[in-house]
Amino acid sequence: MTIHAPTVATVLLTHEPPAAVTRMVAHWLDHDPQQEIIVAYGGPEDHYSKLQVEHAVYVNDPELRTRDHPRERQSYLGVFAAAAPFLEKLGVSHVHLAEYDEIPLVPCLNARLLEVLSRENADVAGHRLNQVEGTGHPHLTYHRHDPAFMDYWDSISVRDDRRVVLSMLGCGSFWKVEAFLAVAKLRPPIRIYLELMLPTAAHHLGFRVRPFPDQDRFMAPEVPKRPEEFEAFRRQGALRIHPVKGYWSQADLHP
Amino acid sequence: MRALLRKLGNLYIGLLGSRIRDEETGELLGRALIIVWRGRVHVVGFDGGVALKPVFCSQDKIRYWRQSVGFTRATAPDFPRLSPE
Repeated sequence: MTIHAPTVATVLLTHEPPAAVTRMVAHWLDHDPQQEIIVAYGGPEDHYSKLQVEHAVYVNDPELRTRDHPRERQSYLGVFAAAAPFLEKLGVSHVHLAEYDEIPLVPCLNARLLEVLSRENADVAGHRLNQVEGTGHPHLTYHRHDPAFMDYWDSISVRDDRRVVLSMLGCGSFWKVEAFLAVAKLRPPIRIYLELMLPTAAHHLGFRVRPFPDQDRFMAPEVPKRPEEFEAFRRQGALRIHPVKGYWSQADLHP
Repeated sequence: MRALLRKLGNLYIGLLGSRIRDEETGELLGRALIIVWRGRVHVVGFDGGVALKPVFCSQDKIRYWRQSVGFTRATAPDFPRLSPE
């Protein structure tokens, strides 16, 4: 039996101008040259045609382009569906889903993420992951108002308890490719906010979903981070941080 | 304006809100105004940043006339894999 070393594709979701995307991809590759980078582009189509990266897909999905993400139930299923053929073609074993405002801070990031997945014996690892059915989690209480939400999990679940609902941040999740591709095939009859959709779908399809230990505070979306804080975060043990807005647009930060 | 109202609300809850402790661990989860209105318990302005789960509290002796509802927090899932490897 041949055992292949794990290969990771980082799916970088962005809408930024081509020059910023070039800087972002170079930075990610600099931190881990072994990985494949797939840019999932949600910006203007004419910008997409000017991207100078090896792998890129255009995500033509209105459910991605929301302003008030939870209320409009932003979806990443279009991103998953667009990236899936690339992942199959590249033959990778794992997928890191990253947003443009997530910055890697350590070299060999993927080796560390693989280690977490292995230690947790998980198929998916994510940030701020919680089991939220029966709680007052606002995304859950909003979605549960529509009976179709729970009916959907009942219709796809392979588990005994079909009422389980999980929540996790969309960015920074790390997937075995089988789990990613299985979720990419789903077409729910209602729009489900990505923070509920991605982990709950993976769970009900039979995959094991676990949290990233001790990293949630570095990824908290309500706490913006600045480049001058990178070193301090690194010393505190951060593997990557989020959100850092506008980082790739500032050419002077990237020699 | 919205940010100002939020700031004032947070200040008010910080001063007058009830401390909410995890009924299982005793951990302080945050503060909120707990208002009972028309047969429902409304949790207003909870500042703890975790999803609250209501639970009936245990009692040191049997009481038929009063039961208390407290809170615990959502936990991380830990389910086995069911899909084939």
